[in-house]
Amino acid sequence: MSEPEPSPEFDEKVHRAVIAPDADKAFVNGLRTRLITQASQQVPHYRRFFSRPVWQWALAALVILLLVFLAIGPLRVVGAMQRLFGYVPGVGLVDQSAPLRAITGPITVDREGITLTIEQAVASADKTVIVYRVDNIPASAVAGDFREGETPTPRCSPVDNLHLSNGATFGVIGGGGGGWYSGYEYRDVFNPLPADVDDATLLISCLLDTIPGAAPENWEVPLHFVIAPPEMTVMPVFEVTPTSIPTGETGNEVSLAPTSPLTVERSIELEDGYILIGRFYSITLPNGLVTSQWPWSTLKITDTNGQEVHADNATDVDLPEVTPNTSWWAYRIKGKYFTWPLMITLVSVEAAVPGSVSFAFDTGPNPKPGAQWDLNQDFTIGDYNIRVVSIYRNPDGYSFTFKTDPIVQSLGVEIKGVNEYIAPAGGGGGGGGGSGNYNASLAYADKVPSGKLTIVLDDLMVNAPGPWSVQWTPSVLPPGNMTPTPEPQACLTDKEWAQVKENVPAGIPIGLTGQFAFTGTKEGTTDTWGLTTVNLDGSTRQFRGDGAEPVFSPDGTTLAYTGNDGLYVLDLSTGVTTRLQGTEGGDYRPNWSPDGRRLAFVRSVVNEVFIINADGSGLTQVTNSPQYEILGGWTADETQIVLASVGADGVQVRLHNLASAVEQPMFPISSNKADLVVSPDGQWVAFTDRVTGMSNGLFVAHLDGTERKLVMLLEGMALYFPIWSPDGEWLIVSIPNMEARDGRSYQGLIEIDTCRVIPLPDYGGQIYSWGK
Amino acid sequence: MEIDDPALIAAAQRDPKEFASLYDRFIQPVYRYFHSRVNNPIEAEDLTAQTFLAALEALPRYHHRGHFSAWLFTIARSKAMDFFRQRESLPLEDAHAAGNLDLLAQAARDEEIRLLAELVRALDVEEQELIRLRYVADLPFAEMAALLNKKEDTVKKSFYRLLARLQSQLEASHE
Repeated sequence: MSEPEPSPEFDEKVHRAVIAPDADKAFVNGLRTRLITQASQQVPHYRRFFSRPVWQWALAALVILLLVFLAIGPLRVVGAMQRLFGYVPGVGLVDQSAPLRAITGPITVDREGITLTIEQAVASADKTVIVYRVDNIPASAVAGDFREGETPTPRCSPVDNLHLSNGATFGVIGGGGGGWYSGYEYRDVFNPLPADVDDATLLISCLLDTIPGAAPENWEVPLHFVIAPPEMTVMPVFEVTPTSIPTGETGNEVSLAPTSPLTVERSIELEDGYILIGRFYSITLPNGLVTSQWPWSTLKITDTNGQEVHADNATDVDLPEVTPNTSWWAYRIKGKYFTWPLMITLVSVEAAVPGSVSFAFDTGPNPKPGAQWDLNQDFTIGDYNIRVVSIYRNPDGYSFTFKTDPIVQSLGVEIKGVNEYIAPAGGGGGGGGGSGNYNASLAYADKVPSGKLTIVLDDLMVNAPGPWSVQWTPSVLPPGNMTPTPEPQACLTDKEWAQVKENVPAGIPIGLTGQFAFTGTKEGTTDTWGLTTVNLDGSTRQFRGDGAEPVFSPDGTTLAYTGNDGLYVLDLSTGVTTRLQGTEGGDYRPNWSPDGRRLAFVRSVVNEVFIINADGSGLTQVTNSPQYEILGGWTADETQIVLASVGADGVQVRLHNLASAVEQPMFPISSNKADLVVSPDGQWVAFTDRVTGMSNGLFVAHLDGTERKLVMLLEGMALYFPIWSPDGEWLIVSIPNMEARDGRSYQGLIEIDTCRVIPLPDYGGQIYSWGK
Repeated sequence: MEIDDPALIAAAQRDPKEFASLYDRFIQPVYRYFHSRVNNPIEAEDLTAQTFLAALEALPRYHHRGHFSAWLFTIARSKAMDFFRQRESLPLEDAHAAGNLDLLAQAARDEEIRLLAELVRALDVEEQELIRLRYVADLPFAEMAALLNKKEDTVKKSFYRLLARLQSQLEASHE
C-alpha cells in the first residue's frame, strides 16, 4: 500500500520549518576561484610536466642556469637567480631576463555606473599579467542561486582575451580571482607579449555571474605598455639553501629530493611578511607506492616553540602543475618576527593505488535478505592487504565487511557487469591512517543480482601519516625589533571560556541593573516562542507575545521588534503594540536613535538602510547603492548613522550624514564577514574581524578605529554581533556551544575595561538587547 | 537539463577546470545541508570547501551511474561524520538558533512553523536526515535512495510516513 503524499501546504510548512540559509556570495565566489585554481593544477593525465607556456619558459631558464651552474659554480648561480626572477605584488613571479613593461597607471572604464579598473598590467619575458577589478554591479544584474526543479538563472562566465596590435589574440592561461557582493577582482595570465608589441586590448566578454543582458558586455580596454619605471616594486626572489630535516614514522625513502621530500626552494621578503615556495617530491611509501599528493589542509607552519604561524596560500604565485613527481606549494606568512627557524610540516599524504582484484562469489539461488556469507578471503592491491571478511544480503543489495591495512582509507567495490550505483556505507579513517575496518554496500533499484557473480575491488586509496618537515630561516633577519610578533591578547578566548563557563554566579554582580530582551519560550511551555523580557537578577520574567529581534528603546520603556509583516513597537507599560506603517516583511535589525524618537533598520529585499519615526511616520530611505550595507547605529548627536560597506578588501566603516548624505570614511576591517554595533553613547563601535587564519575576534574601537581593543578571540568559531549594556561598559557576547543539543550559544558578559567575564544563566533564548 | 547532467560530469572528468559548472549546480544545497547539520556558518563553509575539494580530487575515479548528487552527498556526509567524531552531533536546527537575523525574523512570524521545527528536532537522527536531505539539500527521491542505499519506493514511503506523523503531531498540539 502506498503512503499518502502530504498536501502541498504541509510540505511547504515543513520546508519553512527546516529552512537553512544559502552560502553568501563572497564565499561561493571565493571557493569557486579556489577550485578553479586547484583544477588548473590538477591536469588531465595526458598533460605533461610544466605544460604551461609560463613554465616552459621557466624550465628553459632553469636548464640554462644548470648549464651556468656547471660552468661557474653555485655561488654565482644564486646571484643569477636573484636577478632573473622577481616578485611584483599582485602580479606574481616575473622573469626579468628581458626588461619588464607595464602600463603607466590604473585605467578605469565606466559603463552604466559599473567600473572596470585595470589595476596592474605587466609584461615580462615569461608572461603577461593583467589584474583588474569590477565594482558597482547592481544587485538586479547578478544571477541569483537556483535550486533543483527551478530553471537556473543564466549567468555569465566571462571569457577574457588579449588582442595584440599585431593581430594575434591570446587566451587566458592562468590566474584566478574572487568576488564580493557587488564586484570581483581577477588576475589574468596570458602568454608573453612579443618584444615588438607594446599595444594590446583586453577583451572581456561579460561580467562574472551577471545575468546576460543585465549588465554591459563586451568590454574593451586598450593597454599601452612602456618600460617599467625604476620605482616599480620588484622584490628579489631568494633561492633557499636546503636545510631539510628528514623525518617520517614510516621510514619513507626519498626518491627524487636530495635530502627530504619536503623543501623550501624560494623565499620572498615582503613589507609585512614572507612568501615561501617549495615542493613535495614524490616519496616511496611502504609497499612501493609513489605519491606526491596530500590533503590541502595538512601542511602546517610552526615556530620553534611550536606556536602555529598563520599563513595563507599565495594566490598570485603561479605554481607548476601537480605531476606524479612533485607538488608545489606557495604560502604567504603574515609577520616577520618569529622565534626562528620556522618548521614547515606535512602531516600526511594520500595516494591512489593502481590495480584491482576480483573474485567469484556465488549467492546461490534466491538469497534472502539477512543471509550472510563469511568469506575471510585475502587479497592484495599494490601489496596492501585486504581481507573480505563477509558479505551480507540487504533487502536491496549487499554489504561487504573488510579488514585492511590501517593505512587504507577507502576501497571501491562493484559487481562486474552490473551497472548500478555503489554507495559506500562507511569507511576506515579517523586518526592518522584509519582503523583497518572498512565497509561498503551496493544498492540496486530493481533486481538485486544473484547467483554466480564476480566482485571487483578497485579504487584503493591510502593515507600515509608523516610527518615530513623542513626548517626555514630568512638569510637576512629583519632589522629592528627582534622579538617575535606578539599574538593578540584578548579578554576572553575559547580556552578561558572553557574554564569559566560552568561558574555561573548565583546573582548578578552588584551595580549591574536593567533587563534583557530575547526571543525565547514562554515560561512553563516548550513550544510557545516569542518576545520575552527579564530583569538581570532573573526576576519579573514576562512573555510579551509574538515577534523577534526585540530591542529596548534607550529609556527602556518600549521594545522595537520584527514581526510578520514589518516592524513593531511595544509599549511595555501599556502592552499596546503598534505596527510601523510603511515597514514590510523582511525589514530587520531595528536600531533606536539615542533620543528614542527614530529607528534605523535594513530592508533586506533591497539591502538598503531606512529610518522611520517611532510613531510610524517619516519613512526615509537613507542609502541607495549597490554595496552590501551593514547598519551599525547612530552617532551621539543623531545627525549621522554608522554604516559599513562590504568590498574586495573587507569592510569599510563610514559615517553617513542624514541631512546632507555626505559620507565620511572611518576605518577598514579586513574581514568581509564583519559585523558592527555602535555603543549607546555613539562613541564606540564593537565589531567582529578575522584576526589570523581561522581565528575570529571581537573588537571595540572608537568610531574612527582608534583605541582598538581585542575583547574576544575564538578559534574557528563564528562570532555574532555583541550587545552593549546601556552604560556602554559591558558587552553581552555569544560563544558557540558545540555540545548543546539545541545549538544555542552560551552567553556571557565582558566588562571592557577590566576584562571581567561573567557567564550568564540560560534564559531559554538568545538575548538581543540590554535595557535600562 | 537534468540535475545529474552526464555531459557536465564527463566534461569535468576530461578537464577538471570544467568542474565549476558542477560546483555552481550544487554549492548551495551542499552548504545548506552543512549549515543545517552544524549550525555554524564558518564550519559550514569549511565543510563545504572540504567536500568540493575532495570531489574535485576524486572526480576522475567517479563512475557515472546516474547519481552524481548522491555521490557528492556521500562525500558530504562523510565530512560531516568526520566533523562529529570530535563533537557530539547537533540536531537539525530551526532558524531560531541559527543566528541568522533574516531567518530569525521570518521564523518568528509563524507559531505553527516554530512548533513544527520543534517536532522535527525531536525526531531521531535518521529521520532528521531524511528531512534534511529532502528539504534542505533538495535531493530527489532517487538520489536519496542511492545515497541511503535503499530503494526509491522505500525512501518515499518512509518519508511520507514521517510527514504524516509530523502532521498528526502538529494537529494534536493544536487540540
